[in-house]
Amino acid sequence: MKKYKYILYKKFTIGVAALLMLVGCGLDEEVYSVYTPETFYSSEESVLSSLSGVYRNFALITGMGIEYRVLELPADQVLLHGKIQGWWANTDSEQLMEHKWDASHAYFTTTWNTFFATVGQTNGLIASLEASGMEDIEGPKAELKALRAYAYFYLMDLFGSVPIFLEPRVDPNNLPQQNSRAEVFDFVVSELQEAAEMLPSKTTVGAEYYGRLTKEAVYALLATTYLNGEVYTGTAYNAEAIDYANRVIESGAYTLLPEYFENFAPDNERNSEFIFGGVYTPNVPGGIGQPFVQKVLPGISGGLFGLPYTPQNGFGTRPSVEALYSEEDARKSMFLSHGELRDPRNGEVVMVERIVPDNNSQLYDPERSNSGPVPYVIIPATGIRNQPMNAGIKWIKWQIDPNTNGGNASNDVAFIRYADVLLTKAEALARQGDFEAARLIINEIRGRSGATPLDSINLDDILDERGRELAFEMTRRRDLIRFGKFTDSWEFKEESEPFRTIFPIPRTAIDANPNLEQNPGY
Amino acid sequence: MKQFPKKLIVFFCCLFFNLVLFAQEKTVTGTVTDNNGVPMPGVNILIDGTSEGTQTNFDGQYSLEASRGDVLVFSFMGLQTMEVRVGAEDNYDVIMEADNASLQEVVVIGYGTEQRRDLTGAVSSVSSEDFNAGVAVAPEQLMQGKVAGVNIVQNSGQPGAASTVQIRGSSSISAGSDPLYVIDGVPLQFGSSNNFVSGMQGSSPFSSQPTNPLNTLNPADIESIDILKDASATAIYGSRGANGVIVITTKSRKANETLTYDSYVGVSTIRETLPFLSASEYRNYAENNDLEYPDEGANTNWQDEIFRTAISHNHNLAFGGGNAESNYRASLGYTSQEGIILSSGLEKYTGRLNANHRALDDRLKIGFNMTYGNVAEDNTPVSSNVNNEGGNLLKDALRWAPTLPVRNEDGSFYQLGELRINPVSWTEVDDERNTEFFLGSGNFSYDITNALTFRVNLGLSNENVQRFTNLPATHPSGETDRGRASINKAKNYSTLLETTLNYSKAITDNSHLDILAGYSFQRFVYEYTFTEANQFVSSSVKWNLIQSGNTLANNSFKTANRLESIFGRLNYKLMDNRYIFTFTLRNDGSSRFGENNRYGLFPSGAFAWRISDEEFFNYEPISNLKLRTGYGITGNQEIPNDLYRQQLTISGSASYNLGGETIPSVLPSNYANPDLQWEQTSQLNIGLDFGILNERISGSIDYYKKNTTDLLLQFSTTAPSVVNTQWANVGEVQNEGFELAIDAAIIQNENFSWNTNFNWTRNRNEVISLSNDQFSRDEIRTAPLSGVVTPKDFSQIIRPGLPIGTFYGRQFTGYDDEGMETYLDVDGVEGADLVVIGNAQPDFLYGFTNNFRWGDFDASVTLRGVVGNDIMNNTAAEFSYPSSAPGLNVLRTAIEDTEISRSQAPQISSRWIEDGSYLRLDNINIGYTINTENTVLQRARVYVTGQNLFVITNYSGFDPEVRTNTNQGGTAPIGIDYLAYPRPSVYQLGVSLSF
Repeated sequence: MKKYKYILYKKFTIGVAALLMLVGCGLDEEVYSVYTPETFYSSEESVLSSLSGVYRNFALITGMGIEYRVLELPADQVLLHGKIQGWWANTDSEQLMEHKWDASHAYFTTTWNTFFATVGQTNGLIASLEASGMEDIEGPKAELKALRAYAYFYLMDLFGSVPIFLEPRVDPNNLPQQNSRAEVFDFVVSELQEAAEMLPSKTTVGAEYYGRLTKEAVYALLATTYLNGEVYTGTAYNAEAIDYANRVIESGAYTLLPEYFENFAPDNERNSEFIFGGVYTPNVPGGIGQPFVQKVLPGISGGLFGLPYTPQNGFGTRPSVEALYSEEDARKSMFLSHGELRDPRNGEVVMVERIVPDNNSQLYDPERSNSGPVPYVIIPATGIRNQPMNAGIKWIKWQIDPNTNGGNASNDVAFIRYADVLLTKAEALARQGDFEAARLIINEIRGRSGATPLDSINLDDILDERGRELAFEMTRRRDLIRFGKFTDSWEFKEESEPFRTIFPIPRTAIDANPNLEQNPGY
Repeated sequence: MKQFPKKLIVFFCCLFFNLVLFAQEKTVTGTVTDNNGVPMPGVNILIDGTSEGTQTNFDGQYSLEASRGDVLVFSFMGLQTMEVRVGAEDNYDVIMEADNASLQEVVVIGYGTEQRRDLTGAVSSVSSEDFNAGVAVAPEQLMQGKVAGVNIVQNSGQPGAASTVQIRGSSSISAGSDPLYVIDGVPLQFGSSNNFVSGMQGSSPFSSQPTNPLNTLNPADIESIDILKDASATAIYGSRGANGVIVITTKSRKANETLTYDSYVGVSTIRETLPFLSASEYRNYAENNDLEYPDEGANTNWQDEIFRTAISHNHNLAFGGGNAESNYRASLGYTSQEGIILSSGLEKYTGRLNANHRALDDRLKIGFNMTYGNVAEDNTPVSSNVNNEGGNLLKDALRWAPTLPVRNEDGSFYQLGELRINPVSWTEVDDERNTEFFLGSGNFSYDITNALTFRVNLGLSNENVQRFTNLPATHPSGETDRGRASINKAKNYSTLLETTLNYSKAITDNSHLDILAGYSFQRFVYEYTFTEANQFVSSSVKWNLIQSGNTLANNSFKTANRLESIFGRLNYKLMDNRYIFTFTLRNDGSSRFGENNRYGLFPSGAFAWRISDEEFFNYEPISNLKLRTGYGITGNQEIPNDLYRQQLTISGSASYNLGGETIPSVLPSNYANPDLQWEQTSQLNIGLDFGILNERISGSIDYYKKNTTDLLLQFSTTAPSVVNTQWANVGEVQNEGFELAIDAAIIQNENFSWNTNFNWTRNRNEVISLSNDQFSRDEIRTAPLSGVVTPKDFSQIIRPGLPIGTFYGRQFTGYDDEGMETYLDVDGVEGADLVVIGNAQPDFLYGFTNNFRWGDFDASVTLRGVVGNDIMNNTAAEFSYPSSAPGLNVLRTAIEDTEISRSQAPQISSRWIEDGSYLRLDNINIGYTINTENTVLQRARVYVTGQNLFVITNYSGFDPEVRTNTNQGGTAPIGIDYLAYPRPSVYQLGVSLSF
């Protein structure tokens, strides 16, 4: 017995020793869930997946997030009413609406980072492409450069003097140097011009290119850049603006849609007026959606329109915006105005149980009612704080999407559409003194919406027409600055200091790069 | 390596081939004396594993029948239990030592044990009898306040909440500062454990507090916790030693242990709620100021509605058995703990089997330990991870108007909508987490000669964490999504192989040499899958039929890393152990680093001098005096895997539509840094151990200075950059401090004893540099704030010359004529000056424990405190401005402040920095041991325990011991309180029985 045990243990000991010999160890660990660039850029698909990343981040700017608030709230159209039970009461937004921001404003940090992320991503991808050894990279490179210039256009427009930096990686000991706003302007223009030469025309690539920058999309941005050139550089570039607007127009790639609201329909993708913007596909995993209806409409419109959710009653607009439109103007139908609310589909007054100032009102339901019916009334807002739930004018510009994913809708949102190019040309012509040519274009725009043609125009009419046609489409701040009206007083906003036409460079950005000098006034 | 687990199973199977040896009985005799040589009558002697035994007679002599291989257990009240193995001899004389002789204490060090008297390093130990009494889900709570140099902060009061454990200060900025945990010889890598809940980011109501992986251990199974603090103690763990090492040893069968059962029932309540406005105060304020306010005629105290009296109970059953060759101990544990906030709590099941076997005349020893734990947590939606508009249960309870009712007349919840959700209704949201942990280790040691031992240690750990969330379509939080559910499954497993050779031999009569040489290989794998969907056909299926919704995310991830090491230790004691030298060396290779810096060398050396054993030292009152000094270099590699490579990845499930096609969005996520290497910590330790009056008073004082260089720093890249953050070895941090620990047996009578333990820790932390040759920064801003406050960018600064955790911002100076806040502005530049406004690091911390025994009664009291730390009370900042009311309910102080204007929006400034010093009655425990003579019981004790009965502090939040995660990644900052789950007061009644 004992002998047997001894042998058993001896075998066991030898077994353990043998096991140790068998275990092969080493430090070469596998990489499972990340790509390494040496292996990644080998095909067009891989390049496209990187472009998808850059486009996606850029497109999200149109999605009514922080960047949208930075672009719209300082202007005179979009408002965010804080409610009496605290909804939407938000100092960051109040500061934007009242022109009382400073350099530590968190939204500026976010916005700065968003646009510079596009710059950084395109820089990195251009370098990776060049290092990949792939052939035929000139096309993707031009596309990336155009996207980068697009981001720089916004950076120049919002923050003025920003560093132009094109290397894939920042050397921490040699941080980027600041460039003047005029230098950035020159850079944006020349990069866009160069890229346009390489990019395909929309007339040669079809639907398979939707969502990407084409030659004409870049021309459209050039037209806008030149139109604002005087703001950025002190020198007017109206001839150039006309030239590039004409290139877009003469390409024949775009037309005005017959109906204004077709531009904002849920299935508006690949329409002939959309030039460049965010492509929304909320029902695809990882896809993005936009919440214009969700964040604007009051709660009762959930039941009224049969939405699968209760809208959040956040954003609204001012009476002065609605007042821009004449009665016969089809575009005016987007407003849910002061007074009894009428269902825009049939004109019937919307009845509710009772109007609750601090909560969503309930639609009148004769079967279950214990009070009412009373008409739902939208009352004028008395400020941007502590407002009842039914205060303030609302709007439905991007139409209600029956297939939302939660509040995320699939209507695409344009940075630039063809009407903007036409208005750009009209304004540049007017600024050159050719008001008659401008008037014809303005009337073309107005005619589509059934608005009475204008007999004569001045520059302010052009600003108003832009305000009507492009309301809430992220151009208003730029337009007011170009017309010298951005610091005027308007409802719930006092006259502000001239320096506010340029936002401060975020404090966090200066902390990270001491080479940056703060904009005047901040 | 694929074969490895299989082999482990084979190995464990071998253990069951243990056959009973038939042995001859014989008469064993001897004399028992005390350490002065006086014979001791009445000492109990028992043959282990049997009920056979005897007592010594009046002359201290005994005689009994026993077999070779039996273990005789000698026990006497107040003295250490002694064990003797019966061998070839027939006579065994035994000297019984006093129990308080701490010098005889055996301390577990890396890859071995050492008597405390022969230690050269700074090692603290807490054994099971000194553990904190009361509800302890996690092991670190057992030693909170007991050990000098260890700062344990339980992050919140949520059942199962993780703790922040820091040994000798925070030496790292971005890499982990958690110590290395070694459980029964298996080093474990936590930290990567998931915390991934939802793609909802800033609007998620779910807690982002990480799980505590140690929760799955049963505290009742733990025999001792040894804390290795200085470099000479931790250098044997090389690249993982810089933050200290916590060695947890579980219970093996104690002599004579057969069956024990412990149980308690506890009741927890909120200690105090925050003083928010009552309904009438709220109405009065709004009406006096002519403001519209929500009012449904209710008078609701929302805090009373969400807090509750919570019940917890616990049961532990352990039994063991064995014979001369083999023994085992098995235990089962069950804990149920309700949280004091509605819909929170955990249930925990544990099982353990520890077995040992000896053979071949004790030359071969085999042991194995196996544990399984299962923790099911029901989390309540309380999180500090919410932006302006988002809410959660606690945030809504604080901000909801007290004039609104909990329920409508029909019994349904009164609701406002998704931006203000009825606090009580948040209980309808599900957040369940289930953590399973298996740890198995087997060891095998063989004495090749009397001096040379070969040992193999194998380990396997497997942690599975599953988290399920559901926002039902019927609840406002899920209404827009028509239900939103997620499944996250993470798995974290490791395999370990270690072999050591140990040579231990007396070189001369009065000197001794120990040499250890070893090889270690460990591989860690972490993987997860995450699925999220919304728009469910019906929310009733929650996450259990996730394909009935619309998929929002479907992600998987896997990563692995390896460590391969050789190590050695030389311990030389000479001149009758008066001079003791220890040298260690470890060479670690880690797959986390690139080719350039894959291997790191970590040496240490230490020397101890037992002064009291010197001839010239004959000062009677001092019974022990030992000087220890050591220096060494250790490392830290707690960073994500593969950072040395350039990486491209997809963030979440991101995709974009180009040309009508959905294309996954792949973007660069990391810059390559082939030079990335270990964070290195060099540490000097000088310590003095002392004993006075024959060890009635004993203790130690340690001074240390730790310099951590090549910090693994994750810094924000300067725009424009393709990645947001980048890792590099940059900068230096210093920690310098003193530790004092004193044990005293103040009164030692037959009927009454009073022992006390006091410890005191002072650590001074300073950032020395943030630069190297490729990189330099003057400062880094960290610790973003949350809620409706401005500015929300950063509240802390890391700057050379200042400690980590320095608050930096505007200095509040009062109000101007219009009632607007004013801030310090001396530099003349427009805008307030930014200055240092506080420090989250304490000046010192202390713990004070007293144990009393009076006849059959025993009692212990533990007090614990922290002095001199500041807390940013982010909760108060959000709820202290009159302008927030009546939109939000506010703290009473907001409307008592008549100077401030209603135009003043909530601002972050030094106004919200508060002194976080506190003294807490952590624990009070009174027990009574029942006379069990003539019963089946060996021992029976009943006890009552109170935990957290009072806190003396000036801090105005729920609790000054707090650390909330804020919504940006990286290492969570210390000293910020935003919506932390408050810590309860607990009363318990318990019983402990041994059969």
